[in-house]
Amino acid sequence: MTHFGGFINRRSFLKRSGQAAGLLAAAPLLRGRAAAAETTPLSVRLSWVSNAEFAGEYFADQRGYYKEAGFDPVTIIPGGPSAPPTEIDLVQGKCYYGMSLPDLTAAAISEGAEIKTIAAQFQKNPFCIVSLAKNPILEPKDMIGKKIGVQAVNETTWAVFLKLNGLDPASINKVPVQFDPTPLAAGEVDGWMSFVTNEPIALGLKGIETKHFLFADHNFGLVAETVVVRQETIDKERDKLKALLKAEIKGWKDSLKEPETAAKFAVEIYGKSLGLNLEEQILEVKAQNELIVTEETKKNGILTLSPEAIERNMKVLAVSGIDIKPEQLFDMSLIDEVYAEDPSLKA
Amino acid sequence: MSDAAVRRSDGGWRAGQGALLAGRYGRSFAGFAILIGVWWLAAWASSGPAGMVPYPGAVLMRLVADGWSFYGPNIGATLYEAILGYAWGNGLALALAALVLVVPPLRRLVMQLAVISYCLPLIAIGPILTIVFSGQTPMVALAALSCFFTTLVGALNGLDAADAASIDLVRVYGARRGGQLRYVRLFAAMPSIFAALGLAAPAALLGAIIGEWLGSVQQGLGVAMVVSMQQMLAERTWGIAVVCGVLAGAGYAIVHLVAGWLMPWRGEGASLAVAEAVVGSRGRALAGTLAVTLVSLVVVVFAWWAFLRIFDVKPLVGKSPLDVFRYLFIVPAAPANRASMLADFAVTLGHAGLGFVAGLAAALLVSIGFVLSRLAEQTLMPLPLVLRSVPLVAMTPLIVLVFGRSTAAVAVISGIVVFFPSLVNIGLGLRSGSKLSADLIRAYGGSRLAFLRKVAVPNALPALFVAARISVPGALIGALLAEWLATGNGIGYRMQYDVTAFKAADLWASVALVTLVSLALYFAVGLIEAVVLTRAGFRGGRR
Repeated sequence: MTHFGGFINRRSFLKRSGQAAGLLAAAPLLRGRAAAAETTPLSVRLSWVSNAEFAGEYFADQRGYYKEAGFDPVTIIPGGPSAPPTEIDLVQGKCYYGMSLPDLTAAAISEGAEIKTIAAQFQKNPFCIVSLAKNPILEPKDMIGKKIGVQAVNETTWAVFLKLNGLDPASINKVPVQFDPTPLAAGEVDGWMSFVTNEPIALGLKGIETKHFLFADHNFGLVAETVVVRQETIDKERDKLKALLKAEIKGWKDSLKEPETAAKFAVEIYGKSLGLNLEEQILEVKAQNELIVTEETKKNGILTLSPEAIERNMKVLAVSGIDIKPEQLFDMSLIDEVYAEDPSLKA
Repeated sequence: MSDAAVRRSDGGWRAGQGALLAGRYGRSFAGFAILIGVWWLAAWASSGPAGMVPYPGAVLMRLVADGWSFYGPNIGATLYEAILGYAWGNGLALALAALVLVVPPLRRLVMQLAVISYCLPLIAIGPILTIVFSGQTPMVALAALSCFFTTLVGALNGLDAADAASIDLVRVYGARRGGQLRYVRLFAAMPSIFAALGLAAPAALLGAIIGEWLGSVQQGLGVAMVVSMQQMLAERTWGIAVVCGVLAGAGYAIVHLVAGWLMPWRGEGASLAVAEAVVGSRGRALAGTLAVTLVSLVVVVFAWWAFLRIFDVKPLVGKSPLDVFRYLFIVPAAPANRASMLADFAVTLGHAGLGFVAGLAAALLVSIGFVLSRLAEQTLMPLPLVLRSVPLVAMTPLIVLVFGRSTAAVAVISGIVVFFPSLVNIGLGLRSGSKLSADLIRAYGGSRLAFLRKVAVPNALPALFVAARISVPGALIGALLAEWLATGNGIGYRMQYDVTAFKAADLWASVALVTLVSLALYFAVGLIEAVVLTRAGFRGGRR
């Protein structure tokens, strides 16, 4: 290699040494990578069957955000009409984290479960009362004397909602139903408790005109699709959880931008055997996106909860008779740290 | 003694069936044609904007359109659970039966445990299984439980069925217990075992589907049905129900064919009736069973405790017998806990009583109709087997629309659960009068009605009691189902609520209460049975 020296000029020397330095600097990182290759398996418990309601999680999985956070392989455990609540799977150690509702989580905590809510996907509660356009129920007091279909798993939420609006449960004819809204379409009941993202869309696609009012617009300040984890995980694996939250944020940001892709993930991958309808799922994603972005999240980032939002949640829980302090139920420090460390996530 | 009655009638029934075999399939086909006709009428009657009942043609078209890409994975998942559960449930049952044969003193204890497992309401332990196990395991466990009892009883009674002469013969030739088992008893037991295995196929499938409804799995016919219902795709929902029925029928037919191939000497057609009857044919082993009952309860309590330990169920979720006792009797709130639970349970008992009476009465009327008209029986009898396997959950919206959400709906839902096994048993009982008496009446020019009045009904008394006894857990299960899906009260709804509200102690206490009462009622009917039958001149006690 006699010509070796001749080939190296000053510029290329600087460049190469820069690369070398870069490599050296990257070495610990690479080692970190190698260690991270021993990834943690992740099991995610959904709060319903695997439809587009969980678009953020699907993006996090499909686009490798979970993997970047050190989680692999990913198992998605769906919920169902009578599936035990996420809290039970958490306590039993069947999942690493899961989606739930603050009232369910609070009930579990007051029974002794050591779990906490660390983020909230739906800022506005998606529960609504759907009714047929020809027999509309436009606000809570319209329900008096009517038949309302309520599912067993939504029983607690229903009772609290009535209390919050000063309605006597005896004045409304509550009818136990499952998740097939045929009784509403057939006129057996006048109103139907559901997520605004589900039944109203299904009915609409069937050509049945409906009206609905949101619980959120009538004193019901509970957030929904909350991210729940074990206290033990917060204590021992704080960094991992923060990485996980980052993956969640990225996933949901994608879902906000690409409702069609979100729906496709649900229809073609995660809910493949469910026979979901793409058109319906796109509408569902669009509807839920409106629940995710609020004035507060525009300022603080999605999935966060402001102290005021927590206050609104506590008000509802107090009415429901669950004696719990905000710090027992919520721990927003992790997601706040995630945004503080990487403000670009807010954009 | 109904053991004997059942066996005696088995022969007669089989002979009659054999002669009519030729026309049988044709008539079954006619039966299905009638079913489709009724379905079409229901669709026509309910047609409206909601389209509660879709037309058969529309369902078929949707089925074809959905095709294998939709049904393949779902059928695969459900079949996997059902077949695995089938293997476990039947394997355990047969192993236990073999054990009892080798160690006869265990018979009563094993029987008692089997009865307890039979009285354990599936709907009630479903949530517990889904809490403890992950993935498809709860569904497999439910499928296994669904077929365990029938097969165990079928096998035990079958193994007893060897006639004394054959056993003596083998003994004379120097066979010991093992030899007897191999040469005589096994052969004698095969028809009964296969009959039970045939019935276990639809039962396992139904267990798996109920599990999918209660639990959380990614795919399966039960899951697909939930989603389809929420999307209001009535055609698809009904299509899934049809697929369930076809799968159940196919499972039954396969076992049936295998049995026919293994045992060419076996008569056709008898199996359904025999095994259903066999399910109830013992159980009046009441004298002196108190001790055995106590021992078996101890075993159950231990098993309960061991279950929590072995599967590492967290104390917050899994409650031990002691926790339940504390919840009901020790903690300050215990009186309140008891009061509210008993109040709910009273409602459930009312519902179960209603279903019990409605189901039995309907079964009695229909089976009398069948005795009066052979054609009706030939045509309609295959239907129950298939209809049974269509998940009741799929039919509930329809039942509720027709009967409302009150008493009538409960009577129908709980009654349906009671109806099918009772129909088979009572039908068998009505036929159990000896051929001689029947001939005698015919010779004197007596009508079918006279036969019914003078021979069939009096002779059916034991079978009626068998039907009543095995209907007790059925009626309770039906009541829980009705409460869960239609009325929203009683202990059935309470358990659903407990799961969501994280009230584990209340859930476990409810399951224990339902099982205990189911067991107590089962034995109470058995006691009445023993007294009445002895009085009525049927041979009392065990063989």
